[in-house]
Amino acid sequence: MKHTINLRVNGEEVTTDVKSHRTLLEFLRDQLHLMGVKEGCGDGECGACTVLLNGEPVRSCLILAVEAQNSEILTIEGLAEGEKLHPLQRAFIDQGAVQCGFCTPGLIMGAKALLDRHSHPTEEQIREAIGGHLCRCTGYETILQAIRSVAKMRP
Amino acid sequence: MGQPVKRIDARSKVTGRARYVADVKIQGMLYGKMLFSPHAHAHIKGIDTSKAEGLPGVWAVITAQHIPGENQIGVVTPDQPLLAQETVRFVGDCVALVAAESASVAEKALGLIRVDYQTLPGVYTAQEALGENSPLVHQGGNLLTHLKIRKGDLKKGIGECDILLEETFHTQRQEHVYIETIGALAIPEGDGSMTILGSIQCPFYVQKGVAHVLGLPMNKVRIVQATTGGGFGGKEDVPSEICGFASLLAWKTHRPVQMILTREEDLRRSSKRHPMSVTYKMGATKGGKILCAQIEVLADVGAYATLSPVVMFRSTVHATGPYEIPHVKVDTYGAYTNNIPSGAMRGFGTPEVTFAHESMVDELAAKLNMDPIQIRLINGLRLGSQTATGQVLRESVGLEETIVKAKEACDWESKRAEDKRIGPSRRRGLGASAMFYGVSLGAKGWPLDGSAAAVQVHQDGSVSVAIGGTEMGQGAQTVVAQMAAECMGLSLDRIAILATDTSLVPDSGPTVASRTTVFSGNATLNALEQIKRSMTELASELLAVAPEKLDFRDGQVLGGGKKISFDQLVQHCYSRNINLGAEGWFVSPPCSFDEETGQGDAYYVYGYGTQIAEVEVDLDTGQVQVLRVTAAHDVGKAINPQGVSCQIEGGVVQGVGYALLENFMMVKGQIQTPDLATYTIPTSLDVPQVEPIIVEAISEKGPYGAKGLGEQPIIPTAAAVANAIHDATGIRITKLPIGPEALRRALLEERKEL
Amino acid sequence: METFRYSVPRSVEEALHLIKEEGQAAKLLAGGTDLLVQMKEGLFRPSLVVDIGSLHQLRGIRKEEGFIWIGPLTTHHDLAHSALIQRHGLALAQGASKVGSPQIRQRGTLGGNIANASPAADTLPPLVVLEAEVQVSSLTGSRWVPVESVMEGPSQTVLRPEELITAVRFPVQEKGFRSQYEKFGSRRALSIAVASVAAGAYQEKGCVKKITIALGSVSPSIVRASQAEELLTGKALEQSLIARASTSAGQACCPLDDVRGSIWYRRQLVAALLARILQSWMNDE
Repeated sequence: MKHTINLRVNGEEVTTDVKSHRTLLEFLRDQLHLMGVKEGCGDGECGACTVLLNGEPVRSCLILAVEAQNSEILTIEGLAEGEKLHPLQRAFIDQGAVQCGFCTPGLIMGAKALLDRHSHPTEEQIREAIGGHLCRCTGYETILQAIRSVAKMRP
Repeated sequence: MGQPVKRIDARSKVTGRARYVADVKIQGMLYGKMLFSPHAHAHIKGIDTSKAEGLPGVWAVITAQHIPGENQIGVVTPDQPLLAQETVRFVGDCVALVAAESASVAEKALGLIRVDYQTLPGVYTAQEALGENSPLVHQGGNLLTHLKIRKGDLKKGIGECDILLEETFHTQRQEHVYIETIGALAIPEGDGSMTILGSIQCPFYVQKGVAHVLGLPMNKVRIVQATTGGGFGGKEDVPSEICGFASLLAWKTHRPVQMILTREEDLRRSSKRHPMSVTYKMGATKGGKILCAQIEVLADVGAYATLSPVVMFRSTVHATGPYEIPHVKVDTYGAYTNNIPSGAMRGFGTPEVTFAHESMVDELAAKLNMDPIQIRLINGLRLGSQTATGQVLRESVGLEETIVKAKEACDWESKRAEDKRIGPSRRRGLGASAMFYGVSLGAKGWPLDGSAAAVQVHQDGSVSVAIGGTEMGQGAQTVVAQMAAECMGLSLDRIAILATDTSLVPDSGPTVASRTTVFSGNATLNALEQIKRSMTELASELLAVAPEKLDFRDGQVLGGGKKISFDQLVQHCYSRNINLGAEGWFVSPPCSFDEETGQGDAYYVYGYGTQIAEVEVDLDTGQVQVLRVTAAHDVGKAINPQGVSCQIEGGVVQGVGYALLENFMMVKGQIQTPDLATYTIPTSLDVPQVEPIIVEAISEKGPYGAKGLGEQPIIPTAAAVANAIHDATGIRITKLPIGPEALRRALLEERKEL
Repeated sequence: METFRYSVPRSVEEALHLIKEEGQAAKLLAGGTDLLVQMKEGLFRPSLVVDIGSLHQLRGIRKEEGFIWIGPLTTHHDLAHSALIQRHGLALAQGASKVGSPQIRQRGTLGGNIANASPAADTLPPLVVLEAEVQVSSLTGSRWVPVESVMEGPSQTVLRPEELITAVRFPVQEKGFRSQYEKFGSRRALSIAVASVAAGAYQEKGCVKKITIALGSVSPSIVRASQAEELLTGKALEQSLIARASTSAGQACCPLDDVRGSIWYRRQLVAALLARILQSWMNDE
């Protein structure tokens, strides 16, 4: 069954038809071609598909696209301003927080939500915020370091 | 060189622009799915695919009988049909494939395929498999491999010992959990050839495997590696199967077919780390000199050999650990079972035996009332030492330095002396573990141990490097780019590393065994030196300076007080039709291994490492928290120290998962941990603080002195954690993972006061 | 996932009409963190999905008439961060903060957690010790059911297909009441409880006047450790009593043996977790 939905994705208005059983993840990838949103498990266990829905980090594999009606979605593609990287993207590069890269977009979105909420998060808040993201390459330390470094730069 | 460098692929990954295979969609593409066996061991009496074929949107249903080439995908031993034909031997065996307009139609079609099975009795442990009258997994018998080492005189050694200990250790099946599941996109070309894009560790394996099943010559199969989201050994041979499936469907439908495994499919099909039972008898003098080791390794190979014979070789060679022991007897057995195949995983047979020998060494130290660091220093390999295979080490042995540096960095002496009790039911402890690891394929893999690179300098002075090794997250491309930049005196941004493509470079063997820095690096340098020779010759003529005085530095070629910019020189070369393309090649120094005695130069060089873990144990629940791991690793020259540190941190955390948490469980051949909710890996809240320490014992055969690193850091962790638990509680755990339930049980059994 | 009809009711009544008409083939969608996993696995193949996520009247936390009222669509994240819940039902805030991961807590709801009826649900033992009730509504009216009686077994509740949870409430306890939740999982994030314990008690001058202990993930539904409650009632907390009560609570587990832990170990954990709670209370005195 098809539904027409209106939403804002990465700052742009989108009005389109979507089938009722499509997940937000499938919609973003297959219909909007936002391939930076990754599927690592499809069960909400890995966090690779994390996007921001009205500013909050959610697992797009466990949300129906139709549920995103009237919402505001931000994916990794909407983070940089043109070629100017977001400080978190910069920090992930500088701190060596990127290896295979498959968990990276979701992690950066999770980190953004944290820093939007707490400009100077505690160590515990940082670890907690990315607790729902599995990374198998880095052992997390460089990722934590990247997030800390962005928080530290803030006034 | 030797300076921390930002990864060259990082920008594409933080922006979400990197293209993994699931991100590539082409017009007219179909989706492939596979039908698994529900049984661990059964005879296939018949398959009815008619209903599935009739489902709208289905374009092909394929069973074993349709395979145009040979239905065989075994990488080392030809024992594995790509599609099960008469027998299914584990629950990941596939009996049919479907290509359809969408993944959900394909899924529905699978449900319409009727397979008539007659179940067969199975064997589910290696011990069972080798028992008399056990059901056979393959007709030739359940014993796949037996490897031996015979060094010195074991009886004599035992006789001279003041102390002799014996213990059996058990290790579990571990899953890789690369975050990107395996996937392939097969594109049938107009000329009858097949191009495959995939999440692949070893494209040359895939090329050979796909050509074989399609019945095509290898020049009709081209493999291109997409950005690959982690491998850890799990994408060594299994992608040949998935690419084989996708290309069969593409061949049948004449349409591109994409096959991206779901996490559950990936867990069900992909190989795992071997479960092993390892029995050690180890003896020493009062002074702590280890005189003998008698070792028996029994590994559950699973339903097919995959890479087991080579994994077992590594277990055998590394069974004694990084110690010089005069009298050694090792027997390693690998047995078929009806479990998921065991194959390649980071460390490749070494972490399993390391857990055992490092626990044994600590037990010896405890019985001798000796410091665990001391016993390792007494017995550790050094220049001139002889390994268990009788190999005399003539270069690059950094073991002792790793032991000393790790010990100093973690404040070993004062911490070991501290009170273990930090609360009524909490204890802390510190444990050490050492390892060595033969770089590259060694004697058993020597025929595959050459690697190529194809380099060209373009008209604008930019450089393209195609290597046969792959990038799967470990940082290989960055390291090769750094070496190329250094060699040509250019900045890093002038170098591009191309996606690995079998049509660009000759067969370079697999990207495994911590070999890429050395092999792709040396091959690249070899190619660049050829180009530099041509350029130097012309520069010498243009500048009127002798060639040996010329140097490539800072984007210039200079010497004798004169210089020309690199780019200008390139233009001169082009204007004179001087070839600025070259192919480089590097072959492993010779290795040897005698099948009867196990004596020989098993690997051309070894990496070494020492880790010290600090743990806290909750006596009430048995839960262990690893607080800190100091990890010192001798990697030869660290080309990119930032990359080395990252590899160490990631490897240690996988090692902590292996030590405490991860267990891919099977009961009677059925998977008990089918998803990431049940197969759990460490999260950011579970990891210790890791302190990487880089030790550089230069290897003259490595590029700029480098050795391999990728696998080292996971190898000693589990034993370091087990030894720390022993220090904290006095309990020796001999079985991995050290889950809280097992530890609580052991605490209750051995310490009545709890 | 298979296809289905999807509707977004604008009122509770409209939602009730929709589920009444569709009967068993309808599924209510709140946060979706359990439902979507189950639908993907094919455990449910609803013909109609009723998305109640935008019924804002079912969201929110307030204190009124001697009760803390919680809208069933309140997310775990909001529960964990609510000052009201932290003050009057700390165990529930603690339970909500231990669900899955930040992303799951952002979507998952209290009503969903109750209706999903997992023995490992992190909010259920706390709700039991807070003596919470659930308002269950249908077109014919509504009824209040104690949380303790809602769950009948894994994925089984007393809720009928035409019913919807419209409110959750627990009494504002008098001074001297405290509650706590302890969970043991194999790891510290993304973990499903191997065992969990919630306790709620009135203490007066070190003496336990009344105590409720609920255990999660140790039997097919949430169970009370009645014997331990009896042992503790009327007594002052001290080491040997804590030890006896904890061991007794362990015995209240009834077999749940799975890959996460044996029943033997779950008993050990229950004892350890209860002891941890009682110990901290004793030390506070």
